Amino acid sequence: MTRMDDLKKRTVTAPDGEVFTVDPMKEYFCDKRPEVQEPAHPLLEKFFNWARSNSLWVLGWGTGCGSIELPPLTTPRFDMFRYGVQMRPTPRQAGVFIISGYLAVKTLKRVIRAYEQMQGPKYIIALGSCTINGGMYYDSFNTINRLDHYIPVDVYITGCMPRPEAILSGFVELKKRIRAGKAEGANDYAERFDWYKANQKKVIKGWDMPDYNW
Amino acid sequence: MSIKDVLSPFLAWKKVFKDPVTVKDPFNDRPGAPRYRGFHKNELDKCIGCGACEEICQNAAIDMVPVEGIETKDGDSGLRPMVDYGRCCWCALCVDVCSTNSLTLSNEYTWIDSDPDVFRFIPGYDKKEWDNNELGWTKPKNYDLNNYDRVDMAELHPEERDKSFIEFVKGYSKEQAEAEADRCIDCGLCTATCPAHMAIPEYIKAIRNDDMEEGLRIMYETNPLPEICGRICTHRCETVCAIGHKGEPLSIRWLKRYIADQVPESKYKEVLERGLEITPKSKKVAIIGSGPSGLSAAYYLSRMGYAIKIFEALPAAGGMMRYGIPEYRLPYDQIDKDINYILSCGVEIEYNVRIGKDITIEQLEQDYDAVFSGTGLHLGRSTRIPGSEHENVYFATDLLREISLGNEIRVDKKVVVIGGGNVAMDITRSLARLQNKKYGKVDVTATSLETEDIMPADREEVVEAREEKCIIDPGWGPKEIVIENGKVTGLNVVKCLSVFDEEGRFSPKFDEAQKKFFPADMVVESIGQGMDLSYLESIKDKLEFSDRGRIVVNEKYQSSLPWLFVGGDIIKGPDVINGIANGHTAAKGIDEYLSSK
Amino acid sequence: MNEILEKIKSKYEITDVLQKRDDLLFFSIGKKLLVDILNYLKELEGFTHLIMLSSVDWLEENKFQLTYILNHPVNKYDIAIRVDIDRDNPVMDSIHHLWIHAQTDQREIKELFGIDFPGSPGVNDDFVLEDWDDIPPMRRDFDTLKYATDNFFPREGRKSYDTKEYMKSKLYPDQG
Repeated sequence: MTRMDDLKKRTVTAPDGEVFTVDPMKEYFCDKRPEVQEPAHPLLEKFFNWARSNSLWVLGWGTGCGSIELPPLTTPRFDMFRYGVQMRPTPRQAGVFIISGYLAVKTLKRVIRAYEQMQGPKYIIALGSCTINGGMYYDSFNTINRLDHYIPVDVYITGCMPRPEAILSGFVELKKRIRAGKAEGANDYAERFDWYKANQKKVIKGWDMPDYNW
Repeated sequence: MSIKDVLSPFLAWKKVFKDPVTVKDPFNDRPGAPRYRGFHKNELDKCIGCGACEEICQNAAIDMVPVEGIETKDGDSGLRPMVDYGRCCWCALCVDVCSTNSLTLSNEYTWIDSDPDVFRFIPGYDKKEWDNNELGWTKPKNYDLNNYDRVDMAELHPEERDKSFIEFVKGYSKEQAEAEADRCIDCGLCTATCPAHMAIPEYIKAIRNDDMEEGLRIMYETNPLPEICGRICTHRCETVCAIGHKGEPLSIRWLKRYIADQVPESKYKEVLERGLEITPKSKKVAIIGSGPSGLSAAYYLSRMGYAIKIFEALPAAGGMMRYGIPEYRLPYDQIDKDINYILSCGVEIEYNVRIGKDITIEQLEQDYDAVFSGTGLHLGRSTRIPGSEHENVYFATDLLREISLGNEIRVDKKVVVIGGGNVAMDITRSLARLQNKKYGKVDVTATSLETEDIMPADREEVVEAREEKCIIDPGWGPKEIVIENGKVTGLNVVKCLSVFDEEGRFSPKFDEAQKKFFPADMVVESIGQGMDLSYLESIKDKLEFSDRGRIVVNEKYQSSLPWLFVGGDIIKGPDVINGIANGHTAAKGIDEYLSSK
Repeated sequence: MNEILEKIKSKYEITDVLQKRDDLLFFSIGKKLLVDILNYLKELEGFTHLIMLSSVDWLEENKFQLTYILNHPVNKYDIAIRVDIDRDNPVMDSIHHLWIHAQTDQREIKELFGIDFPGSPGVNDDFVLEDWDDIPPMRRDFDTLKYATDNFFPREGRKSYDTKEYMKSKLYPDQG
């Protein structure tokens, strides 16, 4: 219920005595919308897609209970590194975001911020029943039921939670889609940006971020 | 830095020739464990669409939907479960509670797609790759989520009961009834099968809530004779009960009796007529016969406001219920309890008046606006074998009627009963009791064409008859009754090989070489019943009859004469509950007919 | 545990004493004496550890019931103290001066049940929910399924048939 006071419009006195108003929401961020990234020349695009599919760098953030199935993939037993998949610490360095399970409204706000800060082309993998139709928490006041209304999803993996082998199959499926040129989640987000934003704002009531956090 | 620190990284080289722990092919080398809880499989033929899986799912993942190719019929609702993998969490409660063990889980765990709407499917109908997996989760044998054994009913011991006509089923106590009512899963298969479509799960719920008055009200909406049906109904509902697939079906008949027993006769009016407003109509309806169909039609017509008069040929009301069913199965005071309430609703009745003799059918047509006839099947049928015209060869229906009227019947030391149905068992066990009273020992033999496995009598009747020391010897066809010196001495039979031919028609085949002789002083024939329609003689040509001699009626039981409605055993049955259902439907038909006149 | 129970009985008026296990004792006390008894148990009797503070909504009896569970680290037994508060005006004394971490429990209870603890530091901060504008969601008159269906619409295309209605429509539609 308390807002961070330094995001509000206010007057500031500089150390040298000058008084000026500052409006962080407008001045610290840029008023930009996401843009659709057109594919390059077909042959070049094929090469790019092959490169992208073979180096899927995942944002290392477990958003829900399903993230317990991600550490086994980093162990030598399942070894996702041989598929070109590794965990990265920041959104700027990642290309894949794994939504592992339910999303509380509070987490959804941070997920949107992180997703929009990722650089395109970016893909989303949704794990578990909760992302498809609400799962076990379908009647909760705090979790969302349909993930694809808030961010665009490329691949769904069923399970509660999916096993590491199923997640690896999901990665293989994502690679196939990337190579076929069908993994267009980021472009879809740019095209239907207003619709996604309207859905997000309906659920997240205290919107204290810019509309597009890049 | 010591020399050890410099050399230690090179120790890793000793693992060069060892096999790595990495799984080489994680997609094929790692099938699910044998008891893994993977994706659903269902055997569509075994499933009965009861909906227990939908009820128990905590995530509301299952919907019951109609499926092409599966028809709704007795014992199968025609719906099949559709599972939504956007909700399921694979807890397998649906598999554990499945009434027929048709729903199972395979050990498949991989399903990946980009379109979220494909994750709803009907297992067994929508073909999937895991349908042929043999491994997977099936319900383990060492626990059950429901109690599949029936609560036992106390009965009189055979030694006590074959000496008198006291009712031998004792009835449930409150704890027993509540324990039995707890087993119901509220699927509704019984309601669809019952000829009167009684709201069975609702009155079972009333027992659980200990609300006897509500239970009585629910029963009377479709059946005005609960004490009677609670004892002798043919319980079609129990044969299709979903619990019966894995254990013993719910004892619906005895639960019905429990509710009716709990409310005393003096409170019936208060309970059943609370808030009831009847607008009396000026029309009158006559009812011939006070059997179940006549009484049911009388009750529902009087509730609609008509003036009713019943004409009964015998000294007391009840029809076959009083004069065909022995007292140890259905005591007379319970028949009176039900009938007295119907009469107290303003229904008039006249006893000892036979239509066709005392009053003609044309007289009824003149005096009343509509007539309902439910005269039943009171004539016996004869085998017509040589010797069956002797005076010591009786029909079971005549003997049962005499016993119920309170008259003495002739009881000989050795009796043979021809027949394998419930009526044959009734007369056998009644004669056993009378023989016990007269001679102190039982010597009754019942024989039938059908072998024991296809005998039409209820299994419990045969078992109980044998407990009462009657001999049941099935599989013989009667050939002739031997008469010497004017007295019956016995029955000659030959082995019956089969009763029905390939098309299911009655065509018994005998083996003349195998013979047997049953010595007897008295023979009783109980091979079927016929109807007595002599009272309709004068208007017979105006009525339409079917090939087999039955009156043709439309679905409201109206005959080709619009003022005459016919129901009960002479149309459908023979069964008490069918008679009650017919009476109710005919009452509605009479109401429609009279409102439109 | 009997000696401690006798000592408490001699000093305060308590009701509904329930010994749930050998080492777990429950009792109820009036609202005004709660801080007093907690102080007494913490300082003088050695119950230095507050395990938890939780709340139950008794909708039919129009009250909230708070339960404070204390633990004695040396003698190794627990005491649970219950307090009833009026549901229409739920206010309770804060105990953050005895155990500073109680402020987190009180902040959570304020957000989810609506019980105010005036003076507790940060009691009005958001805990789990951000910008919540409905009634406190853990209250029993809050319909969580309705809220979830309205706001987080489930996927369309699902319809279930009732077995009784379906069989009636197929097998005997004319009869009552």
